[in-house]
Amino acid sequence: MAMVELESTWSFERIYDEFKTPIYNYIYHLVGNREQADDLTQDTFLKAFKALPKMDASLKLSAWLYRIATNTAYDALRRRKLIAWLPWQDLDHEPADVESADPQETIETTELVRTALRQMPPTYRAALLLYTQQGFTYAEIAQTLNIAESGVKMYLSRARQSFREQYHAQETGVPRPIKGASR
Amino acid sequence: MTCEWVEEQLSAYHDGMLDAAAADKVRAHLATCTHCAAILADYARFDQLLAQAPRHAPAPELRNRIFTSPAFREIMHGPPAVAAPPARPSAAPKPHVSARLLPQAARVWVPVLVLILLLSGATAVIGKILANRATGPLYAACPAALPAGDRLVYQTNGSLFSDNAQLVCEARTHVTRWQVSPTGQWIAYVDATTNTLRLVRANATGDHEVDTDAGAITTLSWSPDGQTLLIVTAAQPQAARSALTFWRVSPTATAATLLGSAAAPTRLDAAPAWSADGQSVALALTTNDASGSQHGITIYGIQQPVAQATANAPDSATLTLAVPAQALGWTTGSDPTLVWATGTSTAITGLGHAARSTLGALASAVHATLLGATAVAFAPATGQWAVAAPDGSVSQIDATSGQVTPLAQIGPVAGLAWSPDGGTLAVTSNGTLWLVTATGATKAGKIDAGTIPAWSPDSTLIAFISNSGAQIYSSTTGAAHAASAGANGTISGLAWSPDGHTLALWGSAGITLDSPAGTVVATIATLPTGAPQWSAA
Repeated sequence: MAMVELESTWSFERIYDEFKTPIYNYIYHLVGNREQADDLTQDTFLKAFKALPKMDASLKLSAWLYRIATNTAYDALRRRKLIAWLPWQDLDHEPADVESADPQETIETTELVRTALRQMPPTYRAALLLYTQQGFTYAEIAQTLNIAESGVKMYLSRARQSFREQYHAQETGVPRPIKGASR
Repeated sequence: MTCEWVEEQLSAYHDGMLDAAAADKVRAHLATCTHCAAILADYARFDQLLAQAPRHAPAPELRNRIFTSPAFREIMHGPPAVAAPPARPSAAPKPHVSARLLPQAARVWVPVLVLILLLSGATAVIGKILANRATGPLYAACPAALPAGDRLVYQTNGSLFSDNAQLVCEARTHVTRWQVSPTGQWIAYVDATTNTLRLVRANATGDHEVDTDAGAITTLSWSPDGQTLLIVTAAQPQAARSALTFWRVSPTATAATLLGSAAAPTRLDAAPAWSADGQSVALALTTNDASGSQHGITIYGIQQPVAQATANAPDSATLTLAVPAQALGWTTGSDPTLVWATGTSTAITGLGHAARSTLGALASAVHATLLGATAVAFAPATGQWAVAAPDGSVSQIDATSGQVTPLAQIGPVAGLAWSPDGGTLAVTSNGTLWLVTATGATKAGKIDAGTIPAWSPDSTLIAFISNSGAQIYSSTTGAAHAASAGANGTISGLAWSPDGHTLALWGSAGITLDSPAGTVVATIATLPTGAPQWSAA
């Protein structure tokens, strides 16, 4: 993915219009809850708008926004854990959706992907989403997650191992414990 | 070499991030180890699954939530005053031009900062902002009447412009939401500073406020004849669901008429759908109350009585659905039929229809082979749904008879768009635009992911964005018709003028107006906020 440099004429509205869908989609897959993704997307853009006038003109806007989104989502996931001790759940997965779900392979696959993602440690989940869905390079992921590039190699390796374990566990119906780091 | 060591390297090997020596070792191991080869195959498969996972977009209301939030106001104007602030230098001389990226404190200190930055030779963003904004559109007083003709309307710096002329008065506006009527005669816009709805003619005259009582305006939807505007207001615009109130107003009126309301937390599941005659509007709603989620479609009559209306709500009727409606439409004709597609945001699971004259003959059809459809589009002109099935096939389904006609086997479909006459279906799949008719499918060319092609009003041409610029194809021959000569930089959107004589392109280099032959007619060196729309004064 090409990094977007901060153009001098970008307005807040234009930044929102340009990045609203990828940022929302990223946050949604990190937290797995549509309403919370709405709130966290709002928080992300407001934090960015507040800080933007202080940033240097050479700012890589895209990576910077994803970094804010990642930290905002991590904070929320941490709070969720502290407050509720509830397992990761899709609160906006309404009964109607369940009723309408059809045993078609695509729907099942989509659900398996969602479930496997939600079972992963959030740090690995973020790295995997940035690589596969946002098309980030290792260097861009390192910049976004504030880790070394060698760390990205390890994160993605752990992420893929974890995703594979969870996906197969869902396929066979045998839940697996979550391994690895958590935040 | 052990499987354990190889497993640790497989992810980087898959990404081509191992050095040559390590990659050779892994490659040699994979040639003889089915266990590790299976893991590598899984990684490739899972990467593809994740890349193709349904993309989720925020609710349209989120934009309003952000830009009307107290936090955003504070960013723009500083925290609410609790005591008289100490004396400070006066604000920058042209605050409207420069203020939109800068909080109050920054605005006050901008002249000082700019001086320091310029003196130090630094190239900080604030200085660049100010330098560039000076070349933007000029802010005039209230504009004079503009001449007749098709003109592109765009938003920038919180105001609306028509070509290079300001369309609304600068002093009172910070436009957030706006919509040109389908006939191009009127523009409805929301002024965020007062949270009021205003209407202005496309020739910049008749600007007036519309009274909608209370609530934040979250949705505007014009009837096809441009005679009625539907307004949705929310009691809690910052919530995903809120008590909603629905209004209608004619363009010359100064007060909106109440259509109805939903007291419990409610959300719009799909864009409102107007019948072609502008007499009925359908709203797909999900309401959450103590008994759970209730899904349905509410139909409001504008001047005609509504079938199935009750004494309590004589101008409306509600169809109850088991699952949310994700798309709505109306067939044309003297007795139009309301049609809908139900399911989730990622998979359509059923289609239904009801004639307006009865609304009682509620019929829903479920087509087993099409369950889980990833995209649907309705063509009012022909009454046909286009449906993209999970297996990559594209079919059309008659909205009332339910007859299924297979059209083509394309592959994973990202989007569908019928031509206005319903004769040709544009299908985007794996970065390629296909033109599909009853007689077959033609590959038109590469299209940028996430962009939407634009059909010319007469359905003969389709314009789309590719990595080599804007392309125009003929829908009749499926062959390249022209390429835009004028658009530099990244193009983010395009739209045909109502008469089909001009194609507007906008993106990082501003706005370009092209002829259908791809010749540049005019350029507007302004970066618009959101997508411009055509008016027809």
